[in-house]
Amino acid sequence: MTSAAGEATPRRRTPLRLLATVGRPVLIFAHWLLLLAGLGAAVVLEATRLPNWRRTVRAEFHRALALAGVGSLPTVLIAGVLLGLAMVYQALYWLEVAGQTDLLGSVLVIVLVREVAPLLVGLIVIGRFGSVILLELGRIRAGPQYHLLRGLGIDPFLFLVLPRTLALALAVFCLTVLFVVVALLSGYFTGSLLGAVQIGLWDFLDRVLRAMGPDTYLLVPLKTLMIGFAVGLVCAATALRSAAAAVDMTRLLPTGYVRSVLACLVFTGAVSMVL
Amino acid sequence: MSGEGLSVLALDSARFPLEQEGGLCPPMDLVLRRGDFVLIEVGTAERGTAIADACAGLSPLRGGTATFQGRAWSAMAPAYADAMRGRIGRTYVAEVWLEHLSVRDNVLLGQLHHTRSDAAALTEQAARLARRFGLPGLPLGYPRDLPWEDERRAALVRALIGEPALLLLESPTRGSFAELGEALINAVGQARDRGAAVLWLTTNANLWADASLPATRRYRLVGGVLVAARRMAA
Repeated sequence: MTSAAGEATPRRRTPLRLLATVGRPVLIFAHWLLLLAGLGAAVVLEATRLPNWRRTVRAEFHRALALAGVGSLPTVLIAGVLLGLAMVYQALYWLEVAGQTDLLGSVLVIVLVREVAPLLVGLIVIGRFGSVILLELGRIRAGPQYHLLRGLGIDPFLFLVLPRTLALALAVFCLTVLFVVVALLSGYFTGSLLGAVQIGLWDFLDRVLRAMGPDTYLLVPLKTLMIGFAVGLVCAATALRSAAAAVDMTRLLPTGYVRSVLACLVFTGAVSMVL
Repeated sequence: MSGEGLSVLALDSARFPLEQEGGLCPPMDLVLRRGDFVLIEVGTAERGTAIADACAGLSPLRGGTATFQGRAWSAMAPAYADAMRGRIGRTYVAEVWLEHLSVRDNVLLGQLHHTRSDAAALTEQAARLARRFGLPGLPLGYPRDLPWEDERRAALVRALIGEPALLLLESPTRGSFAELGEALINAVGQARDRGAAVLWLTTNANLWADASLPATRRYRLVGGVLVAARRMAA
């Protein structure tokens, strides 16, 4: 081969190589999105079929709900108290100082109820149960247990993915409601004890509830259910997608965690933009 | 008892993926009818697993057909094949358990999933089987807490619970034949009396030749070919 030909070859390939460099991650990302969309649609579709809810699937659902919901409850309650001290009390105090107590309800609804609470609960549940999904399903996928399930005639999707995803969605919704209530009450009582609040409890709660329009009543369940659903899907898909990838827990856990957090943020932002 | 009635498992010119791609893979014919007890010496555990997987429709054949209760695995829809696998009791070479479930839940999992049998009745049946295999009862703890010997016993209970139509036993006693052999032979005999067919795959030549095993047919896997031994009365 001549030197001229040797130089010409890389020059010809450079644009293709550039295209491949850009295209590869785009394709991977698109493939990942399609996988999640397909998996999500399958969960919704299969969940509506009553015969799929066999007692083994129901037992997995109850177990996942206990782990994600009851297991995360102490953390969520503590976080609610702390956020109540940090945010609700501050809002009560500064709006009182500024003479803008009329804005109290709106501020708390926009910041706490619509944005902070679903996101924070989503992040807590990722740490509390998302990691459990990654670990459990990763072990099953990497080990002979996946084969065992198939040998028993049990569809791993129905037994592992469907109950965990739905339980997580329901848990995030319930925990967010509790979180909001605890944060509001802890903020109010802290303000009362420190003499910074001049309004009664019922008046305070009334202002918050009046500031919640129909869009908020729609947004909170929609956002929380979607966050829980997305986190469950992302964790399950990350763990089950490939047996080879699931072997390495040191990569699987951080990968699943980062993807779950991103999914949480994406749905938080998306739902807030729409509603 | 054997040789008559419906075929439970039929291999018709089945070419198993016994060796790596390109390896020797001759066609195999075998029919298990209700009550049959076929014992095969497979040479290596991997070959036994490959045969058991193909018989359970878990891995595709390289040729031919594997038929379970009159239907080819390859022609079944996935959900239907899953339901059919619920009729197979199986032991594995290595102990395999779902770690997040208790031993009891692991043992009952298949039956609870595929049948509407009363959970208490299943638990009672599992406890009876467990006692037959030398356990004090059905273990309630987690698999990680069980000693190896008890894991093996619990795995036998999982394979035998319910009324399986086919028992796929991959080295079911694995070094514990002296302790478990008699109980297993009795349990297998009862399953056969109910109409189950049994495919026992072993890597142990001595066990294969043991006359105390009431096999209706014995084969050796030689170079991928099933070679029949003399027929023995069940």
